[in-house]
Amino acid sequence: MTQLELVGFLAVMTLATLSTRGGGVILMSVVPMGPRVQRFLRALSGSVLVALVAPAMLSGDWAIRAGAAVCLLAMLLQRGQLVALTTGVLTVGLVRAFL
Amino acid sequence: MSELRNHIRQGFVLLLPVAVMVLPFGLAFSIAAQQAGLEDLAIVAMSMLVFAGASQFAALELWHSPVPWIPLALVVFAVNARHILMGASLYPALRQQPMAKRLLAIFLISDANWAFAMLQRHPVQQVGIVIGGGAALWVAWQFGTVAGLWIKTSQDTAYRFGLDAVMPLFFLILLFKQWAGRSDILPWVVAAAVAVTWQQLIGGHWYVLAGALAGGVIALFVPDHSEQRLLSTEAAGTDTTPEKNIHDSA
Repeated sequence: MTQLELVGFLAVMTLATLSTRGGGVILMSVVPMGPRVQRFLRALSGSVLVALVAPAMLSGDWAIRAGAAVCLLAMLLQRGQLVALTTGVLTVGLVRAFL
Repeated sequence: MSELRNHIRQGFVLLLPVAVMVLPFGLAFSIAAQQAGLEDLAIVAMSMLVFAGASQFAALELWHSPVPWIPLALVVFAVNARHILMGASLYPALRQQPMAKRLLAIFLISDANWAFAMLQRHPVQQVGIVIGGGAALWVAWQFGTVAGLWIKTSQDTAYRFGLDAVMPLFFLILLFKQWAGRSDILPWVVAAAVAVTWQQLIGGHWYVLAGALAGGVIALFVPDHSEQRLLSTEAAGTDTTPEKNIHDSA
């Protein structure tokens, strides 16, 4: 990673986040968003997370899958996301240590 | 003007408890970023400029030379696509503000302060909470990030303690919170299938976007049962109570 690439990397990320944060405001000043556009954007936000998680679960070991199950259980029981993350990661460590 | 200042102060105090919850996530990001090979300065700079946990985690996977520029831009965009809707819902309040305040609010939009702002009826109050609350979250995100720099672990130790799981589990938690009803099932199944298939058969960096786009397009053909319409004519964001979003990180 060269210095130039590093600066470029941060610049691309900054511009991309600004375009999402500011994009809605600018878009609304030009033309109101229809329900289909809203539906697409909302689904995109969920789908991108699915597309990140699913391959990670498939290529990960059983410890990670167990951790994910514990994490989801904690969320279902409404323990808050910090508890969910912590117990999930602990599970991964424990499974790797003892199994 | 001083009215806005009061609301900014109010927003800052209002979001402080949520900001405390952001600290450990900043810490986790910092550790993950070090594992990915980022230098300290780059990690801090990213947190300051980008200020969006999910996209920062997602970008770590693309941190190598040569940089996959287009996947990087599009993944960051897609992960934060919901911000477009949030910005749009704030438009009526924001357009009454001078450009500098408007830009500041836009830079600071994130899940938690937006949700709190949407509970207010008064436009000036909405903007104040976005700015003040956003400032609280931003500061906490920086504190968490910097604190994480002191935790130096080898790749081996990180694996043993399951720290490599932080990133996927973080995404899983965000996903859980995005769930809006059974109209999500088909788009998500399609997104998973396309992403996994693409990764297995083609590889590279485009599998995330292929899955995301497939899910988004399929959603257009699924009847939307959820009440979650960010820009509905009633008070926007009525479905997003602070209780539900109180632990939202930046």
